[in-house]
Amino acid sequence: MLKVLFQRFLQLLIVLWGISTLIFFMQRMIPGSPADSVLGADASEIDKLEWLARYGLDLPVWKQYFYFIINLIRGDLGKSYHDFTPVVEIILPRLWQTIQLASVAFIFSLLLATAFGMLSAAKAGKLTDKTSAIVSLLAISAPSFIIGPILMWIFSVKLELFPLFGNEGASSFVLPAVTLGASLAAFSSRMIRSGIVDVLQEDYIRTAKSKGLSPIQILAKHALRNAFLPTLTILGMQLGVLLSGTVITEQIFNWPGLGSLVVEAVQQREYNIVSGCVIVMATIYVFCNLIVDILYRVFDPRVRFS
Amino acid sequence: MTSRFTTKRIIISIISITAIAFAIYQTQKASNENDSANSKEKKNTLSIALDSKIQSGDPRLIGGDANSQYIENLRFLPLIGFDEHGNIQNILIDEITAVSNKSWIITLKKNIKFNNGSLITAADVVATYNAIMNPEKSFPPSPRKAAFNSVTLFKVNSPHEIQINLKDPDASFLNNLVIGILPKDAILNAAPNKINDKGYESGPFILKKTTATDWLLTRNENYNYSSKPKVENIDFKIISDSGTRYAALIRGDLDLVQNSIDPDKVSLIQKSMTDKFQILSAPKLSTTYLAFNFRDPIFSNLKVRQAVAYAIDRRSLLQFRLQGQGSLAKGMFPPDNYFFDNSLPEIQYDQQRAKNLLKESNIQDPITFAIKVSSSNKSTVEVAKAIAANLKEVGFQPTVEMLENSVFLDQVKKGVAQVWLSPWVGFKDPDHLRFVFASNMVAPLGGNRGAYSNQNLDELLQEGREEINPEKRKIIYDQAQQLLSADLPYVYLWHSLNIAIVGKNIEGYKLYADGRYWSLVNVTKN
Amino acid sequence: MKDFVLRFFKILNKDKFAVISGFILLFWIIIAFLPFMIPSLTNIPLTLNERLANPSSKFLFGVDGNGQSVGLLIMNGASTSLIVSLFTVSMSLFVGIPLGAIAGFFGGRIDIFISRFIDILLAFPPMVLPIAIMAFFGGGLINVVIALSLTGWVSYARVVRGQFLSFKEREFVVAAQSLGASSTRVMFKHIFPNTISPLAVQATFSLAGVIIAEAGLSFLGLGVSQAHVSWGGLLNSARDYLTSNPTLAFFPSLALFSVVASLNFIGETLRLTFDPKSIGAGRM
Repeated sequence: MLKVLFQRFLQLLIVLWGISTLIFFMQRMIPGSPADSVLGADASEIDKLEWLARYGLDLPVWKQYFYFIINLIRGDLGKSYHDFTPVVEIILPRLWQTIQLASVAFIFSLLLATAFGMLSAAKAGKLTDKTSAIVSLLAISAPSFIIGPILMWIFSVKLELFPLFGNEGASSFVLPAVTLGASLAAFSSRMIRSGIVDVLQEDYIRTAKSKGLSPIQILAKHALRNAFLPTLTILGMQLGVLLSGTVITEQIFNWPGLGSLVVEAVQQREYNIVSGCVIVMATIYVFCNLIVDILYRVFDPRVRFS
Repeated sequence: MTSRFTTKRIIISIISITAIAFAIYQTQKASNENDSANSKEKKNTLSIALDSKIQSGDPRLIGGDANSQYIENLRFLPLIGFDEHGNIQNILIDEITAVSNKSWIITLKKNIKFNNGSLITAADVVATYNAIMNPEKSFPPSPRKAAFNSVTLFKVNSPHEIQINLKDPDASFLNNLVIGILPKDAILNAAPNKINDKGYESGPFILKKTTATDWLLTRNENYNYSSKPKVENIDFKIISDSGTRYAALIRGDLDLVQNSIDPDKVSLIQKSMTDKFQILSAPKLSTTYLAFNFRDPIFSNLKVRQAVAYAIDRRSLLQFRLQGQGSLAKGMFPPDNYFFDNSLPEIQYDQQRAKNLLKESNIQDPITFAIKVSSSNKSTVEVAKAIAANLKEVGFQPTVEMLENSVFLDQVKKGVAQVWLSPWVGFKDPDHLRFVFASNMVAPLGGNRGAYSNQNLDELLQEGREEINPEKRKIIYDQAQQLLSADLPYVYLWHSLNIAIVGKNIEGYKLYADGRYWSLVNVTKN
Repeated sequence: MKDFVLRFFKILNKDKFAVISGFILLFWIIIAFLPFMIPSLTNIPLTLNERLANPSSKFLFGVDGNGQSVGLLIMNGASTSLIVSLFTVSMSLFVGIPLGAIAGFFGGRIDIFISRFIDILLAFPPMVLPIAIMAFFGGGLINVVIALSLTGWVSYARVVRGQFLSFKEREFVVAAQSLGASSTRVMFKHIFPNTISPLAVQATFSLAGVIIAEAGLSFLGLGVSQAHVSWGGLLNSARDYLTSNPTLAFFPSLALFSVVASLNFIGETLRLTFDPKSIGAGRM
């Protein structure tokens, strides 16, 4: 177990190194320098060079990369070019906002998915099941930039039930969380359904039934638990995606999260913020996968540690 | 088998109902809390929407970002400011004496205080300026450094007297003294961007709190430059989407939106919502133009440039696309500017003439090119599309290329773009023309991005820079503008307006030519 | 293969949704081809004085903020979506199949290398890579295809790798190898045919995914340049008018939704055809 964990951790480090390297070089290749963004387009070349030198951006790229990696190992993500705030201080509050939103969306979709998944499993092959299959397929087909504005128009503009923008308390969460969670809910409800259906056909369920256990007992004791394993994998990965993939939803609802920070930072050539965000998001994503992996093994000892 | 699971329906219903109930409970709880706590605060708080992030709050770090400058104006008093019409106005300055055309002696007003109670003295001013000119090692170079490039000396003559010496004569130099003054103590001790909550502010408002979406300012109780503000708090909300800004305004979440509602919505409000809002409009220092690259053999041909100029239906574009919110431009300066030249000819829309000119230019092949435009301003992109359609009608073959702002500037400055659409905003002195058209200002040295070159013009513009007498300057710049309108390095399109939409319950708001929010000092909310 | 075709039609016979989806898709393909056939359709006139007009007999789907007919814009948007999705999927297949096959068949170091690289790309926050690439290359049809293919090939590579891994030890492959068949022959002749069906399912779902991704990029203002119309771009412009002219967003939304949903339904049917036991709900 420990050996596997160690191996996994090593893989994780490699992935993180790859990502930081990729984003580092990609940013240096993008036209437009941060000096333009900070000093204004019309600043003189001398001023720009002086400014770049201050941030070490005048060095050859391989040297910059060397310092970047050294600082990264020391946990230093650098400072913002525009207001000299350490990148960590900028990212943390934004990350917290994204985590909040993603968690609410996650819980929402989990509840919905369990309810619908169980319902359709119980009615497998019947009209309820078919309808739910179609509805979930439709929900998956509607991207957030269609659902978001529609929800906003109905509930914020017309009915004035929820705030229009930003995070102004609990009610602000409803619309972005639904937008973000809709397709996930649809997707996982199908996963849960097929999980339960598979389990219900296993021999031990039949045995349980013949022993006279009530359907609820069977469902709670055996079916749900086993159906959850495959779902868990998907959900774990999706939590990572949720946490890192809120760019469009955050844009629509003016949510002050990590996704909108990245878009902003790319436009302003804030190299440090962009790489900081990407590294943080990737770390979360990779860790989510790792945790799922471990949980999977804990729940289902049949899975070999390989 | 499945039929035995009917009981499950109950579970499902319970789960769903719990979930819904929980959600409703949460919303209710939140709205109740907000209602009781916020209703009082809401009355004393003015909410204003901004369209983009405020980059920095530290005068030493603020660069070209307009929103940062607006907040700076409210927090830190500078030596000079600009009034509603964009004319220079003394703030901390009591008197200016020109010693020569390269040197001034400035006397400061006495008794004006920082929030911490100490007086603003010459030492503070000089310390602030020096920090921008030569920042300490631990400090990033200031984006405003360029403003002081020609300064040889800032000197404290007495506690309220400063002397400034320049290398070369520069009639426009005083425009640079807009930087908010920090106490000397702050310059010596405060790290970059760590100047909040320390009593360093001298303006009518001080910063209370910042988040990713809000900058909350509160009244400076020790403010003594003019009468104290009447509203207690100002909440600058950063809402990047224009549709959301409009919806929030209509819902009553905002009290004031300036220059960031699309023309269509403004006219909609004008038509149907005058009972809830008042619309203020005033001229703005802004000129939208189509520029040509003179490195390109096709566009260095005057006939081609003329053909483009005659092919664009500026009047209809302004009337329909911008809903009439602006005035047609004949030159760089808007009509209410002192340096506006009324005798400049206006180019009339004339498709036939454009076609003829195109024929006379003797270019056989169809002229294919891209009109480049920055994606940062949606309405400019739409205008570019419309212009492309206009040009297609007379036989050009343009496409519109929308680029991310940094990439756009990069291409324009490197001379890669053939034709581009962009505005100049906030130029305060006619010396701007030298920056844009003088042949020694070709990018990256200055703003002459199309590599335009005209020796007569160069001489005129240098003369204008060295002349201090306003009447004589006007004559010089009139000549320069005539020259430019014949040569057409730019096709000027229009000057847009400053437009503010203000709730009916707000009184006393006035627009300033450069968009600053200075009149918030006098605003009351009922 | 015959079995599959038979089963496909059997399922089709029962599954009316897939049939309807097929017709919707056919409709959009015809619409998307019209601008190529009749070039005048790509030149959408500006009628500035009819800006933002509601749907009428003259403009069936209304007029947008620039005075351009929304119907024509949607038609041109359809060709953009078609081109981008077809090219992206083919590029992704072109890169993903060989890489996945090599990784799965040869295993060892090369597999570790390719798999780690896939991990890196997968751990990249979605949208960030395309956003950075679009910022680097600028907007444009080809650039969107490149940006989306750079991450798109990964899913095919994984599918192919998985299939190769599981098939390379099957009896018929081992037998062919022991009879002296070369690696390439084994890969192409014996294993590859088995990857076609999962690839077809994957490709159908990812056609839908690419259409969404392209529209998403344009929605953020980073997509194809203004020379091409994109549904995402239309939705982005329409968002400004959401409060005043909600119909403007309606038709582009409907277009996008109908295409994506049809592709997902067809993908689902294909999946059932090839793998009757699996019950999923599209690809995320």
